[in-house]
Amino acid sequence: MAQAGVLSQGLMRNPLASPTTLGVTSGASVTVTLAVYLGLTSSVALPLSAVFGAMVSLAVMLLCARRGLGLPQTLLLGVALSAVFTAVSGLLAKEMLHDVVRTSRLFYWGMGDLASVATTGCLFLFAVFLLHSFVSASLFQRLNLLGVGEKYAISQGVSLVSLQTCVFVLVGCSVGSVVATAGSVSFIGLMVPHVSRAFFGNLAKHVFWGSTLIGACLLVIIDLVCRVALPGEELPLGVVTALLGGSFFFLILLKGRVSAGVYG
Amino acid sequence: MGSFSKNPHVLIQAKEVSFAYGDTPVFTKVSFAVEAGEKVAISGRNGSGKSHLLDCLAGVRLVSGGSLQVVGELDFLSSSDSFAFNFTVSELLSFVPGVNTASACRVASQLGFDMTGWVQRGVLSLSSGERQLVRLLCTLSKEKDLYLLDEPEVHLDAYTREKLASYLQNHSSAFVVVTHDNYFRQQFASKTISMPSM
Repeated sequence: MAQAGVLSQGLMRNPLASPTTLGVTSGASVTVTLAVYLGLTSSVALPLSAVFGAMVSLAVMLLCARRGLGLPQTLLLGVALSAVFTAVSGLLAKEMLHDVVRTSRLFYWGMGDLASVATTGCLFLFAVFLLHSFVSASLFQRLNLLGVGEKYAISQGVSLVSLQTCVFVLVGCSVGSVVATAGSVSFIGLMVPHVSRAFFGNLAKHVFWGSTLIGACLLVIIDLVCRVALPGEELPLGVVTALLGGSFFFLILLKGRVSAGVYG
Repeated sequence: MGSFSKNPHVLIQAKEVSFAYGDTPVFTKVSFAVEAGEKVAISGRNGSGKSHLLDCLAGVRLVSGGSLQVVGELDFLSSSDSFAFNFTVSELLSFVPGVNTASACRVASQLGFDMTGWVQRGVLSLSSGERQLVRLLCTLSKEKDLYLLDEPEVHLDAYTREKLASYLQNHSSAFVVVTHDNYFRQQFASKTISMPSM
């Protein structure tokens, strides 16, 4: 999720872009909910449905980006997509209320859950992580040039269409895989790249690998806190990441460092 | 794109070049040529299509009509670009192709300022003028046949404008510069392309 956040922010040239704010996490969640509703709960169907949902969100974003939608509008579109997907997920969940076991599993999965991730799920995510890291490494220079300016990047030979397509496929696959395996873990993709920039600088390579390290450590620490904070009870992981991430988002805005899609 | 001039010194040959968004023209039938080492200014009213023309020369946009040929290595400074992240100057110099600290320091000194104190500063912590200088350094520190600059004098103080004009005038490469500043233009340009108002 942290790696996907770095790629999203680099591509959108916007430090507020992330899988959560672009509606990608919600897109993956709604298709997983739909798959559960339709009874497609196999270890193949769930990741595929999540990747499909993430891709649908990203395809909408890509279409809008190619029609000249500005950065603030793109983020607002992400908010709108999230709202629609969350509403659809709610409707589907309501239809499943009679099935207590299924609804309960869906409820905990929706709030992010590492406790029920099986070994096969871990191995699957590790394979996605390796592939995602390997392909992303080939995009660093293009993302750096894009950070200087869109026209500048094009004049240096960067194809925005191919970069957009590449990043969207990567983000769709990684976010879809994470959501299918561990549920909706919000705001990691927004928060972690900012922390990484503070420690490792702004070069895409440094932000990416720094975010990988910080994201992994942060999630393990948050998961540990979730497990030990309340005796005999486990806090939902996604709730804690959303609380942290939402507060972080608020702080960024309060600091006034973000204006009209770029730092001002 | 049409046949190119047989003159080997010609870097840009534009014949009746036009650009439009659908049925809305931005500029129409602009013709000119730029030779190696020539200093050309593009002037005109707001909305006359100066920046669009420069974008077409840089390959950022495709012309809608006419014939345009650009040869040689070029670099481009757009007026509408902005830094998305708070890169330090040294970070910028590490990834911008064809630029290194030595070449940037040399150009900085020719433009009349010392960049040693800036190297570890984030570009977004710099003033608008300083940021413009950094963007100029990223462009001018490369060895190119042709430089396309969109309002390079914007945000610069009078002293640095004088230095920049002198730098452009004395440089051996060709420059095509969009500017609204007539005094700045007169200082470096050997030829002016006036864009007609649409």
